[in-house]
Amino acid sequence: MLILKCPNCGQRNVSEFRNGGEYRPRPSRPLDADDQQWSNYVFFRHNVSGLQKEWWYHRNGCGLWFLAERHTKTNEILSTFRWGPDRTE
Amino acid sequence: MSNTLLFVIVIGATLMLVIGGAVTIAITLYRANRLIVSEVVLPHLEKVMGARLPSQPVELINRKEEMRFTFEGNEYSAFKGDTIASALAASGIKIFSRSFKYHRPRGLLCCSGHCPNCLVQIGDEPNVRACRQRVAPDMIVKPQNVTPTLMWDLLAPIMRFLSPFMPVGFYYKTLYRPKWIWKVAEPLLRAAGGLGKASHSESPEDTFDKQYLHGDVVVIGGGPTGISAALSAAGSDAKVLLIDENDQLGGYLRIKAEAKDVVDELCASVYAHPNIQTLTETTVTGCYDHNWLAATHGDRLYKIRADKVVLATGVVERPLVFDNNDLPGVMLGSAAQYLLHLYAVRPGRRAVVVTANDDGWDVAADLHAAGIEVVALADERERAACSSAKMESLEAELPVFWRHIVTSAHGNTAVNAATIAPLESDGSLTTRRTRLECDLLLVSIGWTPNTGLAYQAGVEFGYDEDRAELMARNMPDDFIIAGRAAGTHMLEHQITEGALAGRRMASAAGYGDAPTTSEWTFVQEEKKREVTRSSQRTIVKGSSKRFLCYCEDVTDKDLTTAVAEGYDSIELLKRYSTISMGPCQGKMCSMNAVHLCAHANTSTVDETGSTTTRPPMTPISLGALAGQNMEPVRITPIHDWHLGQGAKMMVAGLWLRPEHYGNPTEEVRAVRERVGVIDVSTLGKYKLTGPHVPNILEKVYTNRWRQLAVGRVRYGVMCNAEGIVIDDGVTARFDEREWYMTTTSGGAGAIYEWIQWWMQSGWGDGVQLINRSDDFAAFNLAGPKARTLLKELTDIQLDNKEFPYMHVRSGVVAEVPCRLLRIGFTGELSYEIHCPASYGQHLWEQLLQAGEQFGIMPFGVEAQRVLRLEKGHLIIGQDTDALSNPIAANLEWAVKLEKDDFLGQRSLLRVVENGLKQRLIGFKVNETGPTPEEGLQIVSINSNSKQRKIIGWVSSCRFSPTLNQVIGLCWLPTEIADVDGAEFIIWREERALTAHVHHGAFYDSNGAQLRS
Amino acid sequence: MKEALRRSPLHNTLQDVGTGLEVRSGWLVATGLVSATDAAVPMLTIADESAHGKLLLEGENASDVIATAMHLHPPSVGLSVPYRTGRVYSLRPDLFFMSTLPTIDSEWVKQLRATAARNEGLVTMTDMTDGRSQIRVTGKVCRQFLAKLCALDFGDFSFPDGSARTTSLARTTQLILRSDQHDQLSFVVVGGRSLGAYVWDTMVQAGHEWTITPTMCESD
Repeated sequence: MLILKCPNCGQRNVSEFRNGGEYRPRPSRPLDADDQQWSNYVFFRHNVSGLQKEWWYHRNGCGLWFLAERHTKTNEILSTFRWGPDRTE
Repeated sequence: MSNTLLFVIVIGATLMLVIGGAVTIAITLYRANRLIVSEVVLPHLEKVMGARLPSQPVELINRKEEMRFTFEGNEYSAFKGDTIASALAASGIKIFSRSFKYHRPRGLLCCSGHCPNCLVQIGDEPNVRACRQRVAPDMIVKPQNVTPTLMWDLLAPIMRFLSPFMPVGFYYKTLYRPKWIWKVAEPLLRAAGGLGKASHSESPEDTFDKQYLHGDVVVIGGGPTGISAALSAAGSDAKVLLIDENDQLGGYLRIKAEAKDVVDELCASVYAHPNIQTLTETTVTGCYDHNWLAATHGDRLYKIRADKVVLATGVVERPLVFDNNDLPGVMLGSAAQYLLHLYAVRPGRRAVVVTANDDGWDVAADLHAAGIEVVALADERERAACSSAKMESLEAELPVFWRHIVTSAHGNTAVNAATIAPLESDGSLTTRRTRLECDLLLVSIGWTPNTGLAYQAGVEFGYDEDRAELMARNMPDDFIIAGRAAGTHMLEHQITEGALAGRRMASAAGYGDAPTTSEWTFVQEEKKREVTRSSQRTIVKGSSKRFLCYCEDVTDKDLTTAVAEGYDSIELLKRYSTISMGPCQGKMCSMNAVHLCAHANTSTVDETGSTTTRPPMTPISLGALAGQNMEPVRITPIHDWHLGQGAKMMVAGLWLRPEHYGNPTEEVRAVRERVGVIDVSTLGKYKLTGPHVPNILEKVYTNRWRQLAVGRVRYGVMCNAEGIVIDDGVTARFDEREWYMTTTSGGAGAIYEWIQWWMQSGWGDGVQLINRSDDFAAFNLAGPKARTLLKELTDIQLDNKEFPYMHVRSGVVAEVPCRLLRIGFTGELSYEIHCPASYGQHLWEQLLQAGEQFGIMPFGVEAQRVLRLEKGHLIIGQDTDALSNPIAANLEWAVKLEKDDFLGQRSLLRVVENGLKQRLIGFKVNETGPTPEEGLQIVSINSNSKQRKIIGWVSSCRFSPTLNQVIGLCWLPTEIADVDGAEFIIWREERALTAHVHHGAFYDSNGAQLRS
Repeated sequence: MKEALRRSPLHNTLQDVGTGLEVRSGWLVATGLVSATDAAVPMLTIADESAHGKLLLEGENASDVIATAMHLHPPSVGLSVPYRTGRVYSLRPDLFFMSTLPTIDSEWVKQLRATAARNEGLVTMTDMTDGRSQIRVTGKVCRQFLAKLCALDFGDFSFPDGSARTTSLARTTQLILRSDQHDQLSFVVVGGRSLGAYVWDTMVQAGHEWTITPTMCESD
């Protein structure tokens, strides 16, 4: 059972969390996005075999939504951190 | 002359006949006698006289406490401490099971819980390892998979006859034509093969549970290495868990009388140390991410978070594959030692010991000391290679055959002889054979490290050709192997290596300093200088059946055939032949299988690799995995009131809700004609606070919110980025900066998470969202008399002008501080009253009491379903699914595409542009008859071909008592849905049911009741 | 009109265990339960504290409000400080949980609410008393007992007296506080009201091997 480090609560079992999927920022002006850009955002994921930035929600804990950098093949979690407005892809 | 000659010829012929007959009879009698002696007389003698030895120095049995138990209907006695296997062996039992496929007799092989030969059924629990299960008084033990008895299994000769037709994977190649044959054959094959019988009883006698444990350093294995590691890690101040599957520590030293004092001392240190928690009779069955360990202890499952792990699980003795190696009486050397030393059981009377290491000499010495005749000791090695301390003394006492190996075991249901052969200098067999009579054939030719858990932890192994052993190539920072499992066979090295491993892991966990690299390398070098303990040889070719896999009855011929058929990688070989997939999970066979596969491919063992060991390492009951039944259930504040009324409860997600109180039709009528009240405490309820609440509402809802005045409440629809409806509800503004949002019951948790996500990733400025779902009870009082009733209980101004539809008020009702929301799911004048949950029971009782004079009835979910359907109101998740957008779902009026950016807007613009293909619309059924079930398909039927095409589906449907007909909501192609009155067909039970489209609400279509 | 009385989520469960009912501080409570300080009580006891006051203070400037209105040095995350009849726990840098005896001093609460409203940042106060079940377990086997329901390390180092953790217990989200009483190891479990009865039943089942015994609420 993986250990995930919540930025608030520290190390906890991964079962306390819910995975929120691959991180993909929402286009700031959706009405300006063309169909290709918009459907990329809605439907497509990079689904990398490698380092992935992804959302986690501390469901059985403090209720924080945060990001993790995880290697999708080895399951090694390199870091967990809070979202910030300056964090772009 | 001719007469004499004739006479002589006749006499000679007669004499020859007589002599020949006599000789034949004699030979037959001799053979029969031998068979009878070995198959019948000796076993009987054993049963009568018993095979129990006098007191042994390290025996576990308590001879003062005797008990009785039954096996296969017969009564046997046992001492306290005996296992079922040892007690039966002490009574002379040799056959313990019948093999999976061929029903061959099987006896004790490993006596340590690693092989499948002694699996028995106790009561309703199948697949119990007799060699590990202690006898309890009056235990009822039965063999498994026998037809009808262990001794006389009728399937054995049948399987022997059929075996040429049942090679490896036969079920892939046969029994598929004609088509019916597999239907007949499968149940027969399943009945013939298999293990124990699972119980179908509803309430098991056992209770199962789980417990979490934590340790800085967890040491798996309580032999000398493990104990040493535990003591040294604890000495560095780490919190240590020491786990061993036996009921006493000591590991392989338990059988060594000369080591008794050392073992006792080590155990005492362990138990005395405050930092060490010892778990005995506990088996670690799996190692998961970040050293999360699962361990079983009877009916309890431990879930252990280990910071660091030391694996000191030792070794399992490896069987040799030769003709009839599966006969009862053929066992591993260590098995005989366990029986002898721990249980004082004589495994046989005349033994042949076959060995390739010094351990076999210990076995022979132990047997000899116990008074068992060792007919021969055959050592595969040259004399020079042996360094056993017992060598000289044993050579003087018993026949030793250097450079010999066993080629076959002989016997029917038990071994009665063994054949050994000398070896050439290159290791190949010579043609000479020596047959030795015996009733016990012990094999000690090598050891397989017990490293399944290490594989799971990500340790990689390589094969050391010289030592014929697997060695770890790389170990992660948090997992280390030490002791015999790491190829360390000498006690002094085990103690040193264990201590270093313990210190190293403690240091990695933050306690104390680590051993230096040179300390570690020194031990590794010393290890390499140890005498080898395993032979390169795995298979001795012959002419009978030779078994690699005892669990699945796989012979070496099966495997070579499979390789020849193209299943030449070890992964394919495993799956095709099922080797290592039985109860032993490869402990007895995987190394031998890898060797065979390597040899068949003319490759090396290292290149061949091995299959991935997966948890559980030993059989585990489903009950232990389930643990204590923990199924969360949510109940409302007046749950017990519902039960008291005899309500029929229903499950809605995690909630228990009343479906109805006996007569849902009456409940509907009560609401339409008088007044009813329903418990809607399950609704999601959130408090939103702050100056920027309208911002977030504008984003998550499809409609407008900025201008909503204080005291107003509005219905809203939420979509995701795809434009799919995810929830709906009403949100009220109670104050300038305080809002109150409700969601569907099912969405309470999910929508909170959803909005929090958007708030925590940029849209949360000036807003706070708090989930208050459990804080409030909520009751919806609905019906023409609702206002009149409520006036009795509150001073809040309730007249329509003071408190119009879609407004909210706060105040006191029945002495309780409440919020009232005038909304109308049911289509009647209604007030949804929210109060602090602790007052729920009081308020509910007051409402019912005040309503008595008006004929109030409580109503449940079923009545509510009908009431809302009569108004044409949809239910998210019932009338919508993961493809429904709000435009198609009749909620177009709630979608303001022209407003600023909101979730789903961009996608919905596309939907509108593309035009709708399907729409949610109301309908009425044309004929009287059964009510169509929700989920039925709507079809169009081709008039010529009569073929049906699915064009829609029924999402809600009920008989309406108010309208006295069946009404519903359904999804239809827009060309039909757009035409009021258009007819269509619902397909039900092979018949067409005609219905027609109905636009608007079925009842009170202009909302007069609602706004009254 | 009948007096409006409050009921705990465990009301019906305890009604079966106790011998009667009585009114205390506006709550209808079960009577006839053993007292927690009774010497004859076994090594694990369980009590319903759902009537205790529970307040949440949330906002980036929440710690300022605590300092101003309560004249307290706010505790660090996961720890607590005593205040009046209860304690103030920090669950997050921006979230504080206040636990008090059943009768919350309404004057103090009003003052806190007013201070929060005056703060230039967004600080809110929410009374969760009615929406939460609060269950206290006491006794020397508390750790082993909780270890059957929850994966946290309850040892002294990881979970010292006075600390708070929100985690999963019996497959539900619970706030666990360590609050030793009379030299006895004791933990308080706070969670959603609708799950209260389930949590209590699950605890009683898990505590069976130590003859877990329901007792009166300590502060009653």
